[in-house]
Amino acid sequence: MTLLYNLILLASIVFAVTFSLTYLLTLTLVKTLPKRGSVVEDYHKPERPKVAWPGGPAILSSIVIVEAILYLIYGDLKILSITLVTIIAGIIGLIDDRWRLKNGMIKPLLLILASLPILLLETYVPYPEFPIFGYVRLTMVYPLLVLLAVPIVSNATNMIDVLNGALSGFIVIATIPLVFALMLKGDYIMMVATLPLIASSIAFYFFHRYPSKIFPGDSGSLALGAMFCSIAIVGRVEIVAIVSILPAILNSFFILSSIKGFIEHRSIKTRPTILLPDGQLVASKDPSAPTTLVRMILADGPLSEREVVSNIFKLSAFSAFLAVITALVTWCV
Amino acid sequence: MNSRILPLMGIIGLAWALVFFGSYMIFGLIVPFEPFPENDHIFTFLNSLLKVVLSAILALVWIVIMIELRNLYIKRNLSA
Repeated sequence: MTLLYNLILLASIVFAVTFSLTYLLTLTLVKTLPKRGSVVEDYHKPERPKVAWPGGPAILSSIVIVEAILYLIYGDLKILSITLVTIIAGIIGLIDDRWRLKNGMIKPLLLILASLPILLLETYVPYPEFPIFGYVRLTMVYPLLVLLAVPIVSNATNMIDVLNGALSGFIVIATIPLVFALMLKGDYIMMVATLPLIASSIAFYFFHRYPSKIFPGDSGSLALGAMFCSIAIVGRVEIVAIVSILPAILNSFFILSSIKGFIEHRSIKTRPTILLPDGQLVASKDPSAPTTLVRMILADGPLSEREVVSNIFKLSAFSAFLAVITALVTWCV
Repeated sequence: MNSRILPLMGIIGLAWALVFFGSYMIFGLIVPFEPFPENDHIFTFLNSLLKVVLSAILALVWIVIMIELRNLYIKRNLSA
């Protein structure tokens, strides 16, 4: 009973501290970035308002501060791995925000660096647990999969960051099954280490939701994606994570297969959606336009930006539900 | 429930089912499958090669199914 009480207390403190830090830092950025001219146009509104950008440093610094404290308390290398992966991906995102990496291949290649802490600190176990038939030995292939996973997941979260609040809301929904799976496994330290991802995303969502006051930029989206992926690997909840993040994975898969290769999304000439004068979005009928999740949602007719984001959240919730079933089948059946 | 996202939920549901089915096919059937006797290096190599090829084919089938579903969805909803 005391253990449970301590766990709930610790989880509440971690959540509250991360939430407060992200909220205050984002609020500061919302006020200071426009004064420094660090703004971008919101393309999905007729008046094209200028929005503060990037908000990634607020997300990154609050997560890193809390994870570093957790590492000092527990001394668990898995927490250090998560922290380092998030820092490296966030820095790569900051470089992209600052200097705009033109070549579509550079970012995924750089993100391989973010996978290295997991391999160097040996915080992975090459025996992923599958539903129904249990552990699978992947001693040779698993390190290679780790190298690929961080770039793939980070880019997938980066590609879903297209509308107001979509990324931050999506990360919150997709991370809940990870917390549930870690609870089922009884890995409470990892469960607590996952909470900063949810707390930071919720706090950021208050500013990122429609109409956005700030955009996360690549520093935010890559850091969040990389952290999600590192939790999945070191927490050994890989399959649950894959299912939970399916909308983002399918979105990037559909984009890459329709444009046939790695191209920086800013350099795609044909836009997948068209903004109508009344502010509604409609899917492009141009066959050369990339197939995105948003374009597929809009295929049945125009919707407001808010409605599209709401539909993305519904799809994410459905995936999260499937991920929870996957966790139950893996650890309870 | 919004009817426009039901087909997309179907695609996600199918992708999930294929993850289950595909992983069972690979780790439950293909990995233990050893048609050649493991008494020689060449046969051990052939067994491993066959497992890799069969798994790769299965992964390719998953990709083709997903692309076809996407094309079908786009054709049905956007070609008009």
